[in-house]
Amino acid sequence: MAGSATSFVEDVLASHREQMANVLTQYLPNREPRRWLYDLVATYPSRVGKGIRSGLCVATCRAFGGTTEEAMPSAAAIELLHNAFLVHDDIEDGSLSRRGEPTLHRQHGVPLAVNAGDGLAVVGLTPLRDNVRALGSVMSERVFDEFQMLLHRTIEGQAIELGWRSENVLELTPTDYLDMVLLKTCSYSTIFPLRIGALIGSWGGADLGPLTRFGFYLGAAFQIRDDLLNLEGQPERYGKEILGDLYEGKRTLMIIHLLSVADEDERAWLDSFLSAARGKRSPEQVQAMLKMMGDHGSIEFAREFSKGVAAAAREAFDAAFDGLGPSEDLRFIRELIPYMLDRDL
Amino acid sequence: MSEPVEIRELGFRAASEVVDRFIRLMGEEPRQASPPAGEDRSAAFRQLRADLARAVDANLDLVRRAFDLYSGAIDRFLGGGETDRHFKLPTVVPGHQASSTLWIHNTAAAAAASLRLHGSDLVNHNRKIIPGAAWRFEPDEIDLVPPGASLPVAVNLEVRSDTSAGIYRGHVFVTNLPGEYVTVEIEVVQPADQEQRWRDRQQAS
Repeated sequence: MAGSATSFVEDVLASHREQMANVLTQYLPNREPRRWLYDLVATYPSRVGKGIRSGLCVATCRAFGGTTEEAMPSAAAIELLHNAFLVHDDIEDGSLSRRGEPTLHRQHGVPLAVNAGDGLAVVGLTPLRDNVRALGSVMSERVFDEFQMLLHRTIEGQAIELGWRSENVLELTPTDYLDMVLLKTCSYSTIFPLRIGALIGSWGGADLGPLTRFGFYLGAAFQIRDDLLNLEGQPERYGKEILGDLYEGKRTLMIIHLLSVADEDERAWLDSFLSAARGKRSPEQVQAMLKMMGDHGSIEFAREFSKGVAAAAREAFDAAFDGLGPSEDLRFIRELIPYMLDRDL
Repeated sequence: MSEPVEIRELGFRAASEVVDRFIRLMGEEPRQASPPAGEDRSAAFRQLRADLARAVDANLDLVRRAFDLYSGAIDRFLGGGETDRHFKLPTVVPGHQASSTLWIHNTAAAAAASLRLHGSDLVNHNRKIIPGAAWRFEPDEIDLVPPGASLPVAVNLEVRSDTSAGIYRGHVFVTNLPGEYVTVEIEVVQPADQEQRWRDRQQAS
């Protein structure tokens, strides 16, 4: 059952990615300076990502009675801004690979990659202007307001996570983690794609509160799964550096759990490990950290915790989509809940 | 370690608290759980409501555009009936393009069909030229503009890297709309001059 749900979701995403690739081509500038800017701007969008964020926006719009054409400019903006975030995230985290290939700053150096990330963010604004043609100026303004909230919340979340690492904050709880994930991940991955899709599809009639609730649960389950995959995923499927989060000292749910159950000596070791710069964490230390997580049940804790979050998502689904007729789009959104727990990429 | 079921409950509870707080902060308390008596919330009703809202917004759009159009027409009337419009493109450095939006107004009583925009050469005081071929319009062809309607056109002017600095002037015309022409002006500056201007502005502010 889980297998068929996963394959249904992956089929829908594959078809959406194909459509989105054509749309993105129209937005990516094909002019000089290519070598130092526009070739770099096109690099991440041309690598195959999951397409969950933009796919969710389009499916929600259609589930609420709208059309693909109405949602596509906003979905394209989500996709381009997501890629812009990734370029800068990879630099901030010192990440080595993205979607199975070296990160942009490893290929071209930090200055050019930072500028290309800025370029992607600028390109991401163009579809929002196109919304005026697709939706008229009144609805476009409402969609733009949603995008402004999306962008603010995302950078606030990223700042919190970077601040924790920069100041080696160790006194964290699962609630702190969820607060940060709501802003950093859920805002642009699930909450606002759902809200924007529903806003357009219902033309302002949808109750956005229940969608925000469902989007948060879905996005939090997605992020915890992502953190787990970073520890135990298949490198060729996952696309990012396995154990990269440990090298980066990222405050994942597993680390927060481990800090809460470690004895005094282990905690002192963790303090020193987490306060070190990325380059100072050796493979041996990272393996020791991974073993400690396994021994203390931190990985199992995160797995079970995410099941609780997914249960909340299942419960919130009905309220979020109350009164909508059955459709393949609605099925896709519902099947995303188990997909978030089972996915291996 | 706690039992799996306890951890799941913790996940469920913690996530609910976090999102409750967030929704309160956004000022989006849940709406009434069930519709008031007599209110139909069926899918057909929702679709009808959405369609009506679309229609209202489309009309609002028309009102806005009409306001833009007629306020322009009143300006022209007060200005003695001049139809010439002045359009200034953003300052550009050689090797780049200047982009802006130009509104085409059909002020005639009849619809205008098969319109095509074309721009003249732009000339500066030293007779240096930016050729008319440097213009790009999107859309470059317009099937129909109803009487009294307006349409935005994206305008791009490619300025070659060997273009001399100076202020260039020319015109943009619209085939089949003889009254609609625009005088265009663009300033080309060398990168160093642009940087100096930016510094001057910073100092002044």
